[in-house]
Amino acid sequence: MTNYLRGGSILRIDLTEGRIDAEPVASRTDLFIGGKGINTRMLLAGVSPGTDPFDAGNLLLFGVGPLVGTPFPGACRTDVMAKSPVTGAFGDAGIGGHFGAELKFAGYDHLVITGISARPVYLYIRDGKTEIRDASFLWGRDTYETAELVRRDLSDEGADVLSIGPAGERLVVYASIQSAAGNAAARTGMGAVMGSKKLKAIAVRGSRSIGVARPKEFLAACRRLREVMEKSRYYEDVHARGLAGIHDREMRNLYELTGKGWEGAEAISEVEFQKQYLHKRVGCFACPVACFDSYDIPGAGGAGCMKCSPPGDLTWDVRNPDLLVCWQAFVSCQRYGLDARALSNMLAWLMELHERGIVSAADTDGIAMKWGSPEAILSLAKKVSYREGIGELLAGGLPGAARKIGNNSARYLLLAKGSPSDLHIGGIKTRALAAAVSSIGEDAQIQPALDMAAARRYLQTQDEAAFQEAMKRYKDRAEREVGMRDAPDPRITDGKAALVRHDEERTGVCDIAGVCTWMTSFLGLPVDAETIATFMSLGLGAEVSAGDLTRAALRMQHVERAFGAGLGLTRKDDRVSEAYHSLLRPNSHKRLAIGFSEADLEKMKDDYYELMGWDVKTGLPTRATLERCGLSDVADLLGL
Amino acid sequence: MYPFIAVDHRSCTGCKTCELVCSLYHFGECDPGRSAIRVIRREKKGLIFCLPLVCQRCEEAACIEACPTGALMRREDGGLIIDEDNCTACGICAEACPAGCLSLDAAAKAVIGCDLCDGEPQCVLFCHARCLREAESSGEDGKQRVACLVEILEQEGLPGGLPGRRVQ
Repeated sequence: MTNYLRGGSILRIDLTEGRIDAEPVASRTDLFIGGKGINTRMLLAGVSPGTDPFDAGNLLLFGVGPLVGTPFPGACRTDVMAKSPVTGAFGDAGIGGHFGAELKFAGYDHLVITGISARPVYLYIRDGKTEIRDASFLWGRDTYETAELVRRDLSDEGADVLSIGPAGERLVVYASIQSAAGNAAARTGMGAVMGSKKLKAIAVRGSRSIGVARPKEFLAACRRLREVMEKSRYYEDVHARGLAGIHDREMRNLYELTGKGWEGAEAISEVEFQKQYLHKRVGCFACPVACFDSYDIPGAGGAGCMKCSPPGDLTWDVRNPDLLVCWQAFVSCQRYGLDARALSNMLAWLMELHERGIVSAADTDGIAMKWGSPEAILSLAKKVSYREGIGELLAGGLPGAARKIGNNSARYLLLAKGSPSDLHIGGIKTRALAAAVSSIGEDAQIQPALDMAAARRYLQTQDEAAFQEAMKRYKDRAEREVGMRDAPDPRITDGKAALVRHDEERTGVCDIAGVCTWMTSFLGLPVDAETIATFMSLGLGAEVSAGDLTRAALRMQHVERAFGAGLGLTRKDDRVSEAYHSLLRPNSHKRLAIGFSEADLEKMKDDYYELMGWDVKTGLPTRATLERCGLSDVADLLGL
Repeated sequence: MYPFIAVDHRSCTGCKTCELVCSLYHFGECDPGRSAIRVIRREKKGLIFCLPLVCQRCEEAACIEACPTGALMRREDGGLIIDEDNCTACGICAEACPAGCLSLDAAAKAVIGCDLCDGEPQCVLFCHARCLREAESSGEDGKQRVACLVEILEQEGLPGGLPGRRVQ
């Protein structure tokens, strides 16, 4: 049986023609394994450089990795990809929940959606059968209502539904694709691409099985892995409180690092908010962490599920001490289908412009964009999602908005590859490099831990000797992980490319296997390439090594880069916006030392391209590199 | 006194790992439809409701009483025995359970009774949320346990159980 660990097929849907067909996934698994890997190759093959993100020819891809549908911890991820209206180039966002597993149980590993429907439609995918159904009764509905109405329309209460809200319908470039349970493919405007295709929702229901070659051993290995996870240092905390405790600590640490604390911030406590308002802890398919907190707060947003960054973004970063305001804004984003990080970034930008006198209340519909203003925070999600007032200006993207506002407003935009970054990334060297070389700009999953920890120690220690003493364990770990003892030293550029590569490898392997990266060292949990390889081997009944996985992840990055190369993107486009340089308030020589200059970034880019086997002058893959990993067809495509 | 799997749905996070490990253990594949335990998971107005349903091993079992061919019997330890020669997979037993705790295997046309995995229930071992646990029945309270599950379903506005008519 060749279909172990697979749904079996790639489903292709042309919404212009109303055509549906399928092909076996097996032909694509050798080089790219699954999930984001296969998606990336299909995007390069299927979207020609001249295609506009909202053209019929853009592909909207959903890819589910091989471990999804098994009890492997955290194997629930679906990779969503298209040419992005945010970056104008590569677009990619991951989503958890139950959709991916359900899709595989329905017999599919990937969806390839192309064309534009003449009228609003939704898809119903069920055990090898797919219907394109009328969605005119859903158009205008938010994502909570849409899921409910779809299930009612299908008389299928258990169907898993992803949908877009008013933001996606209106092609707001920061539109997300949402489940009705807090999961979002939020970044790079995938919801806008879905809206451009007049595709309101996808409902999926599967009752087939996922084959496992060596079931007894797979199950026993799962049991052992769960035991190791449960003994991990942070497991108890994240299992009991989700991200609340970590957030509270990390946001304080990060603001201590950046030196941008503000009066009132000390009152922010997600842990306290959770104690007071928590409805229940919930989670994704096959996940033993269950990081979602669900709340039901009548009068302040109502019900929803939250995890990840919004509690930091919509409080600390916009100087709002009130988590109830954060919650209300967050639920709006969920219902309207809007990237909450894009919202907090644009809020902070407008607040900065207001503080500097570049915009006034008259420019923002009579609402003064003062730091922390509840009125400002609560009104913007709707305005952007519905393109009302100032929202119309922002909905087409922040660089365009800055051009219209003028007056040096672009200087304060925190963007990488055109995509809004989060404000607490703390402009240290690895973060700048990671965002600059990534295809999608800042990627919240790529956060090399070592130099961040070292940077904090550097600020805290009194003298060099104390710093070096504190650095010992980071150096030991760097030696093990990237073979360079000095890599964590926050003052030098040496080794930073290696740290970023190491982190890209960690997330890349997860993204092709369908595993949530939070199962890894990111949260102090034990899943790594070796672990995934072991389970792939047991599942497929054929040996898969960690090297096989990291090589597939590397191929995926070459192909991502080739997609950009086709659009004319080169080394010069690997940059971050000017505002990245002022993320650290340079009120001391120490903060100047851990930050980065243009020259630092260029030096780190040299190192990075060298590690990737890319041409240092152009930042593009060379034919030799591509041939070495079996991608001579990609070299041909690039005319190398 | 005999063992059964007690359910406290309040802490269930809806991960459905129990379904996967049940099917993997018994049938060697990952198939939530071939599992003795089923998680009813519903997204409703922003919240998520989860309830795992598994045979509560009632003393006077509606499923056994309803079986038209006498193929369903009780083991000494409270578990169900399915006489496969006589089972016609009509589904009447599954419909008879007020909470829908009995699963039907559509693929093999058979009833899936919970056998507690030969003394080491996999679903309990894997339940990170500790909403499943192995407990001892007094030998009299099975129906009460099922009635509690029915009440939870009714409170949520879900049609009374019945995998045959599929709350799932």
